[in-house]
Amino acid sequence: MHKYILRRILQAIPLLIVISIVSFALIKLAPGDPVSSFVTPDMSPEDVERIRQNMGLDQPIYVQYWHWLVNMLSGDWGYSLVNHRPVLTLIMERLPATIGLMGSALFLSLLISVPLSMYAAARKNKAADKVLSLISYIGISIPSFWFGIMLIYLFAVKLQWLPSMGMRTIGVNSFLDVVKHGILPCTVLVFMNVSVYMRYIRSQTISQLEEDYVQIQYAYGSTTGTVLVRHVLKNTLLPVITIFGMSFPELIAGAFITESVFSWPGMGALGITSVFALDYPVIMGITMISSVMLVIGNLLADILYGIVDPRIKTMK
Amino acid sequence: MKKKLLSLTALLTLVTVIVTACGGSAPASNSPTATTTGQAQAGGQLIVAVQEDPRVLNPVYAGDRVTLTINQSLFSHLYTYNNGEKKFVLAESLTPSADNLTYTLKLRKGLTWHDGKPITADDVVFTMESVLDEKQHSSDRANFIFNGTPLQVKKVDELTVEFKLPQASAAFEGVLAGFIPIPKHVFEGEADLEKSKKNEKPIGSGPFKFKEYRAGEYVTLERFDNYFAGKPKLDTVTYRIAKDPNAANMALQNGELQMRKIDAVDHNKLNSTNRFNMVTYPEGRLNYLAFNLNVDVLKKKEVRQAIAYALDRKELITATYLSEEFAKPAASIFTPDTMYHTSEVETYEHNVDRAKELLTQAGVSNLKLRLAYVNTNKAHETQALYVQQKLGEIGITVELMALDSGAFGNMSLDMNNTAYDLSFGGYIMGHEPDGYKSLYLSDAAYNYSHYKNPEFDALWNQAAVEMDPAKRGELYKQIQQTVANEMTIYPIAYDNAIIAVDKKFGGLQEAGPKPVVMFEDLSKVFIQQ
Amino acid sequence: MNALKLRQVVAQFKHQKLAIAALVVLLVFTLASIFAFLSPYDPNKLVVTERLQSPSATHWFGTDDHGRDYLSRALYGGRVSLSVGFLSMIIAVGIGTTVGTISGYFGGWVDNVLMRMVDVLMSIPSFFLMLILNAYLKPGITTIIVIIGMLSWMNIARIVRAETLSVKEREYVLYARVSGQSTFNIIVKHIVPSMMPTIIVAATISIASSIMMESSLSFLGLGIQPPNSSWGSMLNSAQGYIGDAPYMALFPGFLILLTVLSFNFLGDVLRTAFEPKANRK
Repeated sequence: MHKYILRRILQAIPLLIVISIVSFALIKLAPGDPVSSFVTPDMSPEDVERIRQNMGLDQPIYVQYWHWLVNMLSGDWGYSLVNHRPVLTLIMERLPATIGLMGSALFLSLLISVPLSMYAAARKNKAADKVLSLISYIGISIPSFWFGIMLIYLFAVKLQWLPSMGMRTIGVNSFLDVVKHGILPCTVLVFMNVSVYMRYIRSQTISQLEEDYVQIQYAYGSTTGTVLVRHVLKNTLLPVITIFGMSFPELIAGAFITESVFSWPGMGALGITSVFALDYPVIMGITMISSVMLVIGNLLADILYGIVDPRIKTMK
Repeated sequence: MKKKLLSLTALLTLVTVIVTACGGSAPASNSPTATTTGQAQAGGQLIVAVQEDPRVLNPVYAGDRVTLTINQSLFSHLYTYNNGEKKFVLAESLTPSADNLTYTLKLRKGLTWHDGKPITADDVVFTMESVLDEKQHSSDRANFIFNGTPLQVKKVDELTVEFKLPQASAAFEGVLAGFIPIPKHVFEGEADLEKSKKNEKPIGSGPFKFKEYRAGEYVTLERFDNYFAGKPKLDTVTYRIAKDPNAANMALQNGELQMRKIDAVDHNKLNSTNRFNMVTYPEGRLNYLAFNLNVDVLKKKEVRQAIAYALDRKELITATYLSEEFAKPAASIFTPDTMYHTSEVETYEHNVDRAKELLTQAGVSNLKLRLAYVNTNKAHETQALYVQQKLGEIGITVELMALDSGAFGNMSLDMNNTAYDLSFGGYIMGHEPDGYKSLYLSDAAYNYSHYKNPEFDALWNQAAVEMDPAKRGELYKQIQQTVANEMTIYPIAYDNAIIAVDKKFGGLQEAGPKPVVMFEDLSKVFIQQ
Repeated sequence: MNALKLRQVVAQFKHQKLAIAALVVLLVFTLASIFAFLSPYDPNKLVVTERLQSPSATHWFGTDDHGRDYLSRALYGGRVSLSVGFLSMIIAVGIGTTVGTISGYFGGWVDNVLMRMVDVLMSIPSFFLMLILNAYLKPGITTIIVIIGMLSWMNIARIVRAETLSVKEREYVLYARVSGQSTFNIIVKHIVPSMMPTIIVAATISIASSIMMESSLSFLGLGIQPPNSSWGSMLNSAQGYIGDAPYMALFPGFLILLTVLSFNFLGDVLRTAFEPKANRK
């Protein structure tokens, strides 16, 4: 097992390096100049050049990459080109908000989608199943920014039940307040997630229900409920694990659109700002963290597969 | 006026703007209720919407709208311009010598920084030297370089500083108005002021002191009791980051935001809720259409004039700003708050026949033009649609190029740019006309129309050193008329800033509406009983 | 696709009334956007005096913030949205199928290189890629199509590769190989046709997700160039008028919702129809 994990980690290293080269090249070769946002009309070309030098942008791209890589490995992620604060600090400031939002959205989504999908599977093609499946179709077909703005209009402006933006009421510093602010963005994310998850889990459950072991349980006189909870539940874990693995990078990189709509102070909002400003140290930082999380997510998922279903490990 | 705003982008962008504030407040025309009626109540908080996170909260580097806005409460200027009149803040006097080469600045007595240390001549000298230090790469450095030579700064005594200029400059007083001292005792010895950790907890001199910054959320400032102009009335001011403009307008209606600079198109909808005082004031800003003279067909003056006649400025303003209440028709390249602004220039009243005639004269038909603007700027998009329709009437096909601000910036700064033919832009250049030079001299980086004329350059350079106001005025009048006659840019409107403020706040007039940073001094704002 | 598969599809449609509804919706939307020019209004004509008029007999969908007829804009916008969906799908399916079959058929280092490339592209957050690619290209509908197409082929490649791995072991493929047919021939004549069902399902879903991506790009201000619009860009500019002109957000919102929903639904019905065993009634 240890050997397997070690091998997987070693395999991931070249992947991460290639990812960093590709992203670096893409950003650096893009037209547009990060210096332009610091230039004012009365600056001389020499002044502009000095700013460029100060940002290290005057060197050839491979030298810039090499500097970035060496520094990154030694823990120095560089400074943002926009506000000159250390990239690592910027990311650390944003992480809690994103992990909090995405983590609770992921948790709630699983909590809701597992029982709902099993229920839908058990009542396959009955009215309840059809209604649930229609709702899940809507969930995957609704533009998230539209849904978000509609929720804000309804619950924050019209009904005044919930706050519309940010993570805290100014001047209030309580956990409950943060939760209240999280309800609307979380609703958007959960609705979209559940809609996707349900489709996987439902079909997994249906195929499990057709398996022989379930039929035998029925033959012994078990009720559908008992069968689902005692036997099928365990086996629906496979798609859940896959989902978990896939969602891992999002946990860190955040949801770009939802965070923007709700002014949530997370990584997604930071990401958008830095891409527009071509702030490459920050973009690289986020990309690398999210890639590492993807690798870890996949690895975790594979290990979990092995634990849940010992047959799978032998295939690796 | 070191500070100028070249608005390549709108306020509602994710992208940062190159901004600089000119030291000037403006008279505010606003809804009748805006005058202070209620009794002041002590304490309370104000939540101001800003579009993005501030950059470095250090005046030596501040150039974007958000940072300047927050710095306005955190730091004090030496003096500012209020309607063209000088108003002293940290300084109590500025005296030029007879030859206009030496300026003596006296600071007020008993001033302190937010940490209680006194504000002295040392701070002013230290700040000026930092700005001039190439290693500190302040974007303001160029303001204090005259013909290649930097000015010299010297401490005379604890409260007196002397600035020695290498040559007389009519613009110096204006430039110094944008200068903000930073505390020497805090920053002394820092290798790189911009990356200094001290910027994370700035020590300022303004009415409010730094309390807390949460990335992506807000910056909170709290009352500074020793503020020289009197203890601020509010306890705290919070600048809250609201990225999405539509969501921000909703948060405003919801009370989660209490002050926000809004677009003209949103005015009526917010005003109808009856929750806000709308403070409307000229921002000293010109919104224009620039002709790119690098393109052969636009080298013909008749074509440019034909386009000007084809447009209907009033209708254009109605389409974009809904009413002239929010934007005044513009004819001169100088905004009305600029010294020597004149309205004696050709205005090109809408005249389709004249336009067609000019096109025939120029021998141009079936013209196709590309109009570029920044894609996040709503007002420019509306203008573009309108220009497209209007020029269609005289047989010119317009292709719209909505560019992202980075791409637009690069193209516009390329001296040989032929990527587009027409473009929209806006600027706030302040009340000193010399500042406009950087947009109009033949080889200036920001000469977006690429109009090159040595005689025209000579006028600018003469005006810069002319110390006789009457003669100077005449020169600037000639400059404004030349641009209008040559039609190198088509001035559209001097648009107003509109600030929506929750009705419960009073003292807005006293706070002094100010371009770029919303209000001059938030210490005067209070909650009405 | 053989006759049997076709019959399965028809049978499945007969079972699913909603599938027929989805087909009808898509057909109507497609026809409407093709015949958009029949509308009496110019979709781009600004009428300053007729801003924000509610739906009425003259303007069935009302007018927008510039006084343009909203129904005409919705019809022309549908043209853009549907073409973006369809054409990016063609690009995605084209690249995805090519990479997937080559990777699966040849195996070995070719497979390794191609699949690692897919891994790399899937690891970089796709929104970054979109925004950065956008900086390279001239804004416009072609750019949107190319960007969306280039970013959505990876999943298809993975699915196709997996399928190729199993198809290439089948007898008729082995036979074709032994009888000396060229590799190109084997792939085009034998492998790709037998994967048609998988590809069709992936294509249908891909149209749906492309239309969604286009609307997200509009939200960030990167999309169709004015004066033209797509449903996504209409929806985005409607956000500012949710209080005073809710119809502006509702019309394009529901058009997107219905279209995307129909494609997704269709994709699933086809999948069920093609599947040998599971999920069939």
